[in-house]
Amino acid sequence: MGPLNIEPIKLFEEAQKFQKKMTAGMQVLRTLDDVEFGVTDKEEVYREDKLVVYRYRGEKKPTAKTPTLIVYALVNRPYMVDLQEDKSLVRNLLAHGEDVYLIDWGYPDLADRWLTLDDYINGYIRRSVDAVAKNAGVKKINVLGICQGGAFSLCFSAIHPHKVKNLITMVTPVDFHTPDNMLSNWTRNMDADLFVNTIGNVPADLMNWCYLMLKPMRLLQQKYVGMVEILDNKAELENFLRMEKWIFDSPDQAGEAFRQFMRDFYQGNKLIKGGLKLGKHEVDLKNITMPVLNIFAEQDHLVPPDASRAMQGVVGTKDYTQIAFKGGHIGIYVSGRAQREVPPAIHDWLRARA
Amino acid sequence: MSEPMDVAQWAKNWEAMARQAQASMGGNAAQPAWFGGQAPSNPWAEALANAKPFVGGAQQSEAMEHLMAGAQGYLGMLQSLASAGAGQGIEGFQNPFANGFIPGMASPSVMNNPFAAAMRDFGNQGSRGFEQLMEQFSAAAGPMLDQAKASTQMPAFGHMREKQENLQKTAQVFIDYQEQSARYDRLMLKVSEQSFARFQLKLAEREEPGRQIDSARGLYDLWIDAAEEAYAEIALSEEFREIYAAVVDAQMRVRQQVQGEIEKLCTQLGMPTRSEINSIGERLQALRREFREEREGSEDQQQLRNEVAELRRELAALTAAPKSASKSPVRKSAAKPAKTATPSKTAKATKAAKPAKPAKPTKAARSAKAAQASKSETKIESATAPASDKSSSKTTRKPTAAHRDKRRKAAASKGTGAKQAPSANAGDFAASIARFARKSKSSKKRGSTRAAAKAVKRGGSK
Repeated sequence: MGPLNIEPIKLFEEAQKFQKKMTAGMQVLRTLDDVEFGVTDKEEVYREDKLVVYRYRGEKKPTAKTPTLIVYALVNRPYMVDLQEDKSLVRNLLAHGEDVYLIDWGYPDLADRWLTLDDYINGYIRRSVDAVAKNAGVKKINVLGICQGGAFSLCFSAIHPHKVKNLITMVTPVDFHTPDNMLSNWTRNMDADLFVNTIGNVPADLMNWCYLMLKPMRLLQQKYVGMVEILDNKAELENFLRMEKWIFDSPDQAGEAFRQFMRDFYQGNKLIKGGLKLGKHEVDLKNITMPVLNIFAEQDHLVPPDASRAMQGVVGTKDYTQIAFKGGHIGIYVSGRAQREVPPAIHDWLRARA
Repeated sequence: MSEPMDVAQWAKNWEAMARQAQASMGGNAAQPAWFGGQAPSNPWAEALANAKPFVGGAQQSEAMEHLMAGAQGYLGMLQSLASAGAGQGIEGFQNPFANGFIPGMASPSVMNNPFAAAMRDFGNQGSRGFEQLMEQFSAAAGPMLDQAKASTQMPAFGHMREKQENLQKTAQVFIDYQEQSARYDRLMLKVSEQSFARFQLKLAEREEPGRQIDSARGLYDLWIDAAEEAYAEIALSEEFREIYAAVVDAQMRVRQQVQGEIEKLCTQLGMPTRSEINSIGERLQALRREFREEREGSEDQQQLRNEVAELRRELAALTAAPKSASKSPVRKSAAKPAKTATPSKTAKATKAAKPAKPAKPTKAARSAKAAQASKSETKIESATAPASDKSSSKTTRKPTAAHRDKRRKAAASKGTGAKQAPSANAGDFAASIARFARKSKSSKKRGSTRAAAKAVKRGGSK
């Protein structure tokens, strides 16, 4: 007996169904407006260059006395944490009584070509943290770093521990040299100086292409064959397109910061090995003595779980908690499971350390 | 069991639906996309390729492009399966896999595999111009590549020496890039081959009854799994790391060389160049950094000035105090601390200090040993003063007032208070200035002082 048991009639039925979905889908696609995202009310509390810090407004007043600042990655837009009503980390945290702020980095252009990691971490993040603390009338705040923003938050907390009450990291790489880290393998031998000196700011298209190439068949083909299945369902199609918009809505990367991130993090693995210097400051993760909550995704293809797990033991805190989430790098924010599990876990952990 | 299929009826339905699809996508509904002219080899997929979903209107989105590409690949596979199996029953559908060939999928050749194609599209829109440039170069230099290689080694001389050397360098980086790209293509061919080998293994695993694949979608998903696994294995290898870096670096050298040529041209035409703009940007950013450092420094200085002014006021009040104390020492000394700790201010201080609960340990320490505690409180003060906020500095004024009373009484009893008190206060003032200077110097020290203060607060007199 062979591996296939496809009856001819079934094959034709499948083809017919596929074609039918495509036909209906084209009609639905024409009726769709531009997808919207960012559903929670927010107000601007600080602005500097292209950076804006927002404070989110929930339906009720926050009960938490210490505000939480979300530090997102530079490589994507931060509205992923507030994508739509039923997929919003921010909304769920607010519902639990947290006081949530977020840094929106904006879209760097040629004027930002020479921004360094020191400018980002000891400049922008430090001043944003100060602004949030001032706004809330407290000395220390909670910092929630996501992905690359998590790595930045680790650096910030190590350099300015007196400004951070609790540190939360989500899908954050700490060890960049785990054997399953594809991005790290690709960049390890590249000439970072030649690369940045030649192209300056790193174009978003190029970054997107690299991410697609991590799983080319799945992300460039299979995903869209799957899309046909939902083409005749307007609500699902809108959700799909909203996600699609987020995936490809990537800012260019400031050249100098990218050079240093590639050289010191991806190639030198200095966050864990030591020797990382940002401006005048040496980054020593042992200085992170505040409570730390580390959340990572078990099926993460961008930041392998082991890259995050490595945080345990290298930070100086005695109050370290880690949570392994069953899902991927993006599912950790948008999946149904994430909505049920992640915000309550963060809230409970914070409440115990209020 | 399925009912016997009326293939003729099915074909009619299919064609009608294809017309409908074509119309909805903006094509010509009067005829299917493959109608007329030469019959396409894969009409199911090509019907989709010829459709123009947003013709005459909105821009085709990225998602739409991917959707069409994905759907075409999938339909291509369905069509090939159907053609292979037509009239042969279930066995007919298995034949195409006998030699590892995937119907509708790219055959494993260098120029026709998705991985290599993706790499050639590296940088997507941004590098399309670059790829065109490379194609032109290949077309020109390709037939005489060896000759071109040799010419890059020839020594340059004469008044055109610089220009010749530059041309040689340009040719060399183009050749290097071609060679590295070829290495990458060969590696991607290996991925394709291994994908097919892995696919066959996966198919073999499905031969057991109950595990057989019963849908085209199931087969497609299995192929994707096999391809991704094979790709991941190679993409994580040392070989890939080396070749990937080589091809990216080579591409960067070509770009840099071309940029250099364009810059020369711009300079000749009196136009600003990329290097010049970079230079301005770099200087501007350095200036911004300096400016901000100075501004933040002056903000710190202003803060220090305010604190010094406050201390001066306190000192003035202290120097004035003995004079009035000589008039009515008991009443004044009693009134002063009460003023410093007015109910509202005390309440504020307590509120602000609530999270750290600073009052409790002090109370505990006091109850344990009053005299010892007052001594240790003074130590805490000196440790915490630089780091403590306004509220805590307000809280720490109480013992200072007690000390003042003590000193005044002592001075009054000795009859030398008028002279000694100011000098003692001046000493305190100098010490305070020194403390603030230390504060501004080292934030790290400040942090540790705070931590120490906090530890002392938590542990009481410990």
